[in-house]
Amino acid sequence: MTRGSLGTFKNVFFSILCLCFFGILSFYAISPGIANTAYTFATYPTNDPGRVHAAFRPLADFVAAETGWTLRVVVTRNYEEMQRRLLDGSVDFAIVSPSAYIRFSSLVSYVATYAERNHAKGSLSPYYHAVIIALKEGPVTDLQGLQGENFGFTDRDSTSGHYVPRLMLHSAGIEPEKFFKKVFYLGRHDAVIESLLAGSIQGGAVSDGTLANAVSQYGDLFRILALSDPIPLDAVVARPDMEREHLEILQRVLLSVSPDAPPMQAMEEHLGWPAAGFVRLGEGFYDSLRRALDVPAFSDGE
Amino acid sequence: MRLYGKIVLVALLPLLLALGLGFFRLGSILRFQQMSHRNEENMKMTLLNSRFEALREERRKYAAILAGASDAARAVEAGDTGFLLRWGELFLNPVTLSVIFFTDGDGTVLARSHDPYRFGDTLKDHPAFAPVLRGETVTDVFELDGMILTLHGTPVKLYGDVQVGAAVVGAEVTPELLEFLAKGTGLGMELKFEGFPPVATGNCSGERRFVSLLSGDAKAEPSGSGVEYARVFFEEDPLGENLLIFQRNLGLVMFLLFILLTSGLFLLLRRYLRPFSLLVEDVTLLSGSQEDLFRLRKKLEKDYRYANHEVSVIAEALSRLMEHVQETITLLEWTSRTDRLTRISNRLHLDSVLETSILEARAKEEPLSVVLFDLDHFKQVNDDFGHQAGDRVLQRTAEILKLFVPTGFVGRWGGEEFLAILPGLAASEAVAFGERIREAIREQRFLPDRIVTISAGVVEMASGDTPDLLVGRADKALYEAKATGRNKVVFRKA
Repeated sequence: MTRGSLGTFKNVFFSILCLCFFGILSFYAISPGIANTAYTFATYPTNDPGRVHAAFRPLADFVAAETGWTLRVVVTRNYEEMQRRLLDGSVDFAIVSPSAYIRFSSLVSYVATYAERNHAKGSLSPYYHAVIIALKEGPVTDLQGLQGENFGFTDRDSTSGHYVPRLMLHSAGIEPEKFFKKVFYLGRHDAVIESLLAGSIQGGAVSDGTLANAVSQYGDLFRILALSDPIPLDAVVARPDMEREHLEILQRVLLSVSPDAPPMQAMEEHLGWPAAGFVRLGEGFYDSLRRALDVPAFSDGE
Repeated sequence: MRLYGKIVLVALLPLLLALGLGFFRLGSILRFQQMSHRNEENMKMTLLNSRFEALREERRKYAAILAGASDAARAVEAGDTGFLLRWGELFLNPVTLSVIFFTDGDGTVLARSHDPYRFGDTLKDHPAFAPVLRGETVTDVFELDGMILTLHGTPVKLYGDVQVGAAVVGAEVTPELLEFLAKGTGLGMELKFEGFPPVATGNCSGERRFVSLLSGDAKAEPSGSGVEYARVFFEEDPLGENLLIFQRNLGLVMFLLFILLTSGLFLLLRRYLRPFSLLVEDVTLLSGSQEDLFRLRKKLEKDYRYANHEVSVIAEALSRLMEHVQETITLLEWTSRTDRLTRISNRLHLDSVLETSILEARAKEEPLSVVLFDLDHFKQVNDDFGHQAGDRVLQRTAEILKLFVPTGFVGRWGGEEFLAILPGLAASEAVAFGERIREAIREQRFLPDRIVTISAGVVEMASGDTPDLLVGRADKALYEAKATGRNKVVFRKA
């Protein structure tokens, strides 16, 4: 082999080597299923943030195990932060309350709806209820009995802790800011229970799941003054620019979660939710709630 | 002062001086230590005041931050207890910022960050909140929620302009808070609020010195709203205490040591020097003629035989010296009272003996007789045989007289005269004595071809006799014997 042909061979060999390298690199870069993908999964503080994190960490681990992704769980301070982070991309997936989903459904991608086990019927249900409660041992026996007393909502963006109860009060002809002595926003469902027990408020609004949890913890100390119509449960959403392929992968994995899987047991253990998995429902599922929330009183409250 | 007293004094003076100087030096160190401790206390008080001031400043800043955040102001306006709780929890500190209150403009409590589920009550009339709700700031000690709290309150204003509520921050007055403030200083603190038991750090004690924060110049002292007293207790000065105890103990030990040394030295010196003193006293007595030389010598030999070596040697030497002196004196006395030729008493001695004998005989009421002898024609003997022969006659006569004198004395009265003093002998016995002497002399062959005789006058002491009277009468009796033929004995009555 001549000196010139040897140099040509080296150049060709080096070029092929570079092409292979970049080819492999490109393959990994465009292959979402194989690349080391890191996502952030967000939830909101319905309860103590530590308990919320502990409740959702197994679900994130399950998804990570099924997809090969790295999944980080964050608990946002409120719905406002969650919405902002979904839009700025610092959160990739999130489980949001139905009212929050209704408010910014046009900005996010729907993935699935959280479902609970209906103990009475023994079936899965994607609905829950809001309740307005008082202490049984107190003098309050109905909504009118709360006049001039302190009342506690959870969070302004909470469906069962604020929107729906405010609708329920409105239906009963009660305007909270005038009817009650003082209205407090306590941030979390369990804070409403604790404040009620402490005597700081005489009435409060929580989800029926929170109430069931409180009853199991403290006993049957609470009187239900009003029960809402069924409310669609929380929705799992993704940031608007999420790859379609990953969206479908996440949807497939969530739908595969069985009612008795460890992630569901963790939710029941830490939050008292009778979690039973996820279902995919049509876009019209939340329409009834959307219509219900679209009332003047609610709008004023916003 | 005795010798050993002087020695003790001289020996103890330097010791006393050294002890005194040491004591003075220790006192100086103690005063310096006490002054240092006072300075240290002042520095600690300054540090404590600085911490009070820093704590107040910290509270003021936290209150400003808590109330000044726009989110917080909106939360107060909207009654967002959840936000206020989370906001306050970020600042809570178990010791220095253990309570945070938010109220709305009516004084209704929106949140107690330290007690998240207790709110809804009103504090509009509470002295810590009422001024704040009027737009003022407050810093003081208050009773609230069953606690004694140091609080700082500031209004919460929306847009920095419209007051919507109040933020009051502070800390419960606990032993931990007081310990925090006094940390590293060793100071103790105690605060008493009306109706509450005193709150104090662990190192407070009624026996320790304290100053009042209320009356002192501490900048952070409570203004007195319900505070009965606030005290700062000072750390004991262990070094000063130990020095004080040491000084006391040293003083006691030094005193005891001084007593022991003085006593010991005194006794020791006394033991060794007392014999010297006694010896000096004895010798002094001798020099003052108050002690007999012989008795003193015997005393020295007896008393100082077992004294310490030096004293016994001196005593022995003195004894020997006294013996020598005594011998010399004895010789001198013998010489002064003895006639050199005949070796019997001379007239001087006879005068003394006669006087003494008269007094003794009168005292004992015994008879006393005197016989005066005189050799007959003795001048002729000297002339015929020479003075040496006469001297031998005198010597031989004296030997005969000494030989025949039963009791009493005999001596040469002068020339060839001899006097015999015979205590206890009456006149008849004295005459018999005189006869025996006369016979013995007459029979004695002093010289060849020459008989030497002697005459004698005898008298007996009568009342009122003096030596001169007595000898005068004997002389008259002798004269009578000479006048009536010599070689005879004549008695003459008084």
